[in-house]
Amino acid sequence: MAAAALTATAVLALLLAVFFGALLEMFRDVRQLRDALGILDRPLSVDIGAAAGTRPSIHGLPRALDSAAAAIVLFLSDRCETCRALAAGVAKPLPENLWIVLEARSPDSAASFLSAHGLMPGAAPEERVVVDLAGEIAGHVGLNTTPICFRLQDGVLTHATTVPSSRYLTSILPMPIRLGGSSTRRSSYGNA
Amino acid sequence: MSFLAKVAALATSAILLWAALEKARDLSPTAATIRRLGVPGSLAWPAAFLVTAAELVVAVAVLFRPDTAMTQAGIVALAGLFALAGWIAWRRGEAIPCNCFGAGSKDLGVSQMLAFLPWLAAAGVLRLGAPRPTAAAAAAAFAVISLLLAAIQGFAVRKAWIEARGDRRSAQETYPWLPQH
Repeated sequence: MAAAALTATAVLALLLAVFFGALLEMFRDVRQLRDALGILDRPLSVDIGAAAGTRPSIHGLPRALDSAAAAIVLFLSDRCETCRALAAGVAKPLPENLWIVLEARSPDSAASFLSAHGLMPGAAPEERVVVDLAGEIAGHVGLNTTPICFRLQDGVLTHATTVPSSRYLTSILPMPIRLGGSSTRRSSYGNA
Repeated sequence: MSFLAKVAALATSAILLWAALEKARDLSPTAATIRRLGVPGSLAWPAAFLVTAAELVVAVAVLFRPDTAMTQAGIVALAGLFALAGWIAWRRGEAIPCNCFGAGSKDLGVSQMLAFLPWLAAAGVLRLGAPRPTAAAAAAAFAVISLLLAAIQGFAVRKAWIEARGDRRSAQETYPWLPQH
């Protein structure tokens, strides 16, 4: 009796494995289609060359970043549609460890972009939003595409990746662990 | 020797079951490989079915009756078949997909010829020291291996599911920016 029950279990498990295999093939098919359409949520690594290991301030980024334990610097452009989607999707006020550098053609286009996406609550942009009017910062870092995020660790630039979605951006934001609370939670949002 | 024989039986059965399951899902890649090895087109599909069924039968036989000459001969026959396929591909210098574990495997060649030795060793170990297990013990081993294979596939599905969800949500963000038609 026990042998029959175990054999039946084995057969059912084998059937389940076959169904899982078929399901896996379907996921792979869909992924192949998405790959062909270029809509994979897959960040690409960006070679930052000589910028790796340097202080952000030498590229024209705010000095406050030089002392950041962990932060993300997101480069956006007012001419890039994905950048608009990211700016629209990011939490407001900005998460504590996120900085945004906006490459803009003119002060007007910068103001328009920032206000359209809630990044300029008053007359001035949020504290961690930097407008790069002449593309000086991007040029100094050697950046020629957006949206790109740079990761900072202990005050130096470590590496960079493309940002395919705000879902991905949210997933890579550093999450400080606060002791003394009931549980680990995401850092409180808002300007310091 | 008994312990070694048990390990050999479990490993042999797991590998053959895995190969049979992957082939059973879609026989066409296996049939294509058999056709490219020189078997006439009309026989390729029946041959693919037979190979898959033989793997399944030997995998189960290794668990329930590892002590019989028939089971041990089955292992050697299958391993010989795989090695022969590898030898034909190697001799022709052609890149013939193995499809040993379903579509997407590497090409046939020296690996299948070399693999003949461990298969032969497994059959030899079973010949020398495999006891006849009780039906309950064999069925339990069958169930454990099957559940393990299902779990491995389940983890792969879960990973693909999470990736697909990320892709979908990412694509969703782009819809507002796509041109309207």
